[in-house]
Amino acid sequence: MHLSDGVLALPTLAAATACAVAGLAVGLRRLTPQTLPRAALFAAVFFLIGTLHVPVGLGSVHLILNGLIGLLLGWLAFPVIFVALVLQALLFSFGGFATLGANTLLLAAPAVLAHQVLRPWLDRPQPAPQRLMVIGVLAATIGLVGATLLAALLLWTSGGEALLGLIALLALAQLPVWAIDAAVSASVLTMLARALPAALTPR
Amino acid sequence: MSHDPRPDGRLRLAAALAVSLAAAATRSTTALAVLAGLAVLAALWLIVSAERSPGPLLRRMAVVSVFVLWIWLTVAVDWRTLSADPAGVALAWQMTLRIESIALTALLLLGRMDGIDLARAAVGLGLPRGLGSLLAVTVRQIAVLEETGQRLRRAMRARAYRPRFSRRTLRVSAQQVAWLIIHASLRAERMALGLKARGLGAMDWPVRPASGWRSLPRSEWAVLAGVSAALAVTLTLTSIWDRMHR
Repeated sequence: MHLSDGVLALPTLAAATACAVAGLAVGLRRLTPQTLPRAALFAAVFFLIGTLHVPVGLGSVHLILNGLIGLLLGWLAFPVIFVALVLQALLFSFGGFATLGANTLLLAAPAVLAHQVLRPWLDRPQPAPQRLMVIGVLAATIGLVGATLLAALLLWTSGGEALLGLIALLALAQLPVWAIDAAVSASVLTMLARALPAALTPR
Repeated sequence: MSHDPRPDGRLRLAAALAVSLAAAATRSTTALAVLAGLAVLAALWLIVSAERSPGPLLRRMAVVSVFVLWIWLTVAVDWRTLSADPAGVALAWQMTLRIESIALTALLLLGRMDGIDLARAAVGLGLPRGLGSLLAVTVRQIAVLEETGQRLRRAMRARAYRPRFSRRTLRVSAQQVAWLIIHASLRAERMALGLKARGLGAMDWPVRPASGWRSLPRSEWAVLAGVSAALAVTLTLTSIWDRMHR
């Protein structure tokens, strides 16, 4: 989910960028020489996830998985998502450079929320596969619903009722993405717990 | 004199950001139309002078135009009466000009930079060094992980896998993501250990300090001066025009 350059009004853009900068500042405090390699590799994963498409009807949707990334990284999700978005804007023209702050905010803030809400649940010893699946579905839900609500808020403050149709279409388009993100996040968590449980533990 | 063969994109990035901010700030459709027209003229000039090939440029603009199409469908059309809404059309037209002018300018100014160049330029303009290092390391790791992804896709094709909307596709997508995360986690551990063994910190990684402003080539300064002058003239003249025709 990317908002293009030029869609948001300047005051909204400035407020969203200020919030993203605050989130990035917190995330950067957690970016140490020890955590940077992991953050960079997860940014690479987040970037590549955006290129994975699942056919739906006549078209296809690409995975977002911001909730899953947030669940695994916490506040580091802010710099990680920012960097992935910079590269997506540079290489594919997804989003744009002026809306980087807004796009970072709408994807990373719900990611951090998913971490705050679900991490204690994930950290309990020997999580059962069913619980992991529920956590995966909830992470995707918080990530995507949060991102959609934030995008709707930014569009509403930019254009009010004139953009209601765009907001509705944006929300509608996220439904298949949510279903696929939820299924994939649930499966990924159970697979990680089986193959590399250390990947689920916080560093 | 810089001995660095890589281009220093600070001034181009500054010019692209200036255009983005100016286009986001102005409410004048005339100004946006002129900015979009200037961007199209610059693109045509670069294509005619063989600096750019039209194919990649058009493909990238097509990506941007998908969002523009959404805007026209939802903002310009009154679906209850199935007719064009004049206020919606005006707003959609303004948003289209804004989106296309910003996207095309960014593409023309930054299109030839890679992630490392961009990281360096952004750090040169004040982006925190940690973020610059993260960006540069990420660019390098994408190539490595992409190789892993390609191996996975080849293996899946060998097993006659064809993606479609099915439970199997979801499972295979989840396996791909899980495998990428596992690969990333193991690689991150190896990287951290390797750096530690060599007494390096990852934050010291690849974003080299930018050269002095004075050592930047004249052509780069000319790009920034040209873009700034075009912006100033456009915004001033269109504001006078708008006042006269109000």
